[in-house]
Amino acid sequence: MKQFFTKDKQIESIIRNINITKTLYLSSLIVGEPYIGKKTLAIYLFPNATIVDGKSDDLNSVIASNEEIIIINFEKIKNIDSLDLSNKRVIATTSYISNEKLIDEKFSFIYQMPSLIEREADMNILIDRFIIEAKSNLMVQDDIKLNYKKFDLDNNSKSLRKSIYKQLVYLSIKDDEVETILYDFLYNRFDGDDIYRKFLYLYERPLIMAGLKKFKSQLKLSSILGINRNTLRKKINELELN
Amino acid sequence: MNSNLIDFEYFIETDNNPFILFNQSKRIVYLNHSAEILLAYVSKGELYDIALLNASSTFGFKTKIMDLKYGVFAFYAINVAYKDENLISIRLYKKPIIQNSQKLKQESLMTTDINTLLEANISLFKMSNSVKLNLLTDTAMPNFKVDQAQLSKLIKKSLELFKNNSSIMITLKIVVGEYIIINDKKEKLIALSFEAKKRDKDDNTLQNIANSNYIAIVLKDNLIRFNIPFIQDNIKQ
Repeated sequence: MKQFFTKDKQIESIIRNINITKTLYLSSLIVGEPYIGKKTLAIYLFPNATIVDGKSDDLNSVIASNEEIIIINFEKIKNIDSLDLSNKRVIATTSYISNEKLIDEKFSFIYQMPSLIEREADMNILIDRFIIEAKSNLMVQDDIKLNYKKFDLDNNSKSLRKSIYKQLVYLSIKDDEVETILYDFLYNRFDGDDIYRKFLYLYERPLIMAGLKKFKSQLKLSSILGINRNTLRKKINELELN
Repeated sequence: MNSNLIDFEYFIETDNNPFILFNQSKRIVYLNHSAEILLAYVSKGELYDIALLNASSTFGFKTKIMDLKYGVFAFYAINVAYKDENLISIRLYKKPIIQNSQKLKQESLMTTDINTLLEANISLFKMSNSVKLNLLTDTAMPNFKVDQAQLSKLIKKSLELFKNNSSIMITLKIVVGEYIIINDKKEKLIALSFEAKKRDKDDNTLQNIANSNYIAIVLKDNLIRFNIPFIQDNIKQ
């Protein structure tokens, strides 16, 4: 059975409410941003329901021939007006509501599911799960401390997962792997003249940026890097790091 | 035949129009069955005052055309009669009921636990409102057949119309003595009411949904009441 982990009060209320209506023949709609767990929640609540995509050409026939249905991507349905959801147990998911009046006619219960950034407790559960998953998939065994502030929540769980994988890769990477990456990158770009100067920024830019962040002083950094202060200033201007 | 020997009371008792006989101290001396039901919606004092206000100037009777609406009842005229100082009667003439042109369809009716339907809507309402809800219901209410989506809409809409109150009283009970004829079959009624100090208005929406489902509706400034057909067997088609 599909599990749904949440500590969010709003989602707990949605679960409680849909559980109450389970014996009734009513349609419910879950509205919320993409990748916040709407489909997982629907499957958790109706594990035996037939799942159909709003984009599917068979939508009407699937609805007609089943009693319990999950409709995902409801916003993609072209002709909502023609849908007959009466006396069915329907749970639909959508990213937005385009025609409020029509949606109100079709659905008895409409729930707003909060995005991930609004669900701090859920976010921490997901982060822990994604880190375990990423470490397993990337075969990372070191105890690497990730920077939570750098996690990307713009696209909810999708961008969060991606940013965790990225950080794990970046933080666990070895010198020879950086070399390999650069090798592949440069090999495919050997085109034209002045290649040395053209790609020097790949080394200089992160080096100076990291140094400036660490030492906060151009004078100190120039000394550490072993280059002239004026040379460093010139590089900073060229690389637009001001 | 000597009319003195005829028992007129039986014929008045079974009259569909409410009939009430008051004595001079405003007390009801007699009322027929229809009037008994009417008194669930209007006080006897109000009817007595109407009788007095519209009585003929001398002993006799007077029929007056007037629009009166009490709950689910609508009247188009009254007749007030008195032949001495002791007794005065009022008879209220019901407006003809327009036959609902939409027949209820068997396939749209699903066996329903109304308490569950109510609980689900209350739970949804509580998710975005902090209004205190007082619920007086019969938890042993038998299941009955109703269009769940339509009744759910009426409940949801009613709660929304009362959301600007500090508390809402919700009452669910079986109505005694009143019936509705659906597809030529007499059905009992369940009364579901929402009451608070004030409410927002969207009466047309409520009336349209209620009418198409044979649900009678009473709309007051502080109250919405639905008389829902208590259908337990299959309806005639």
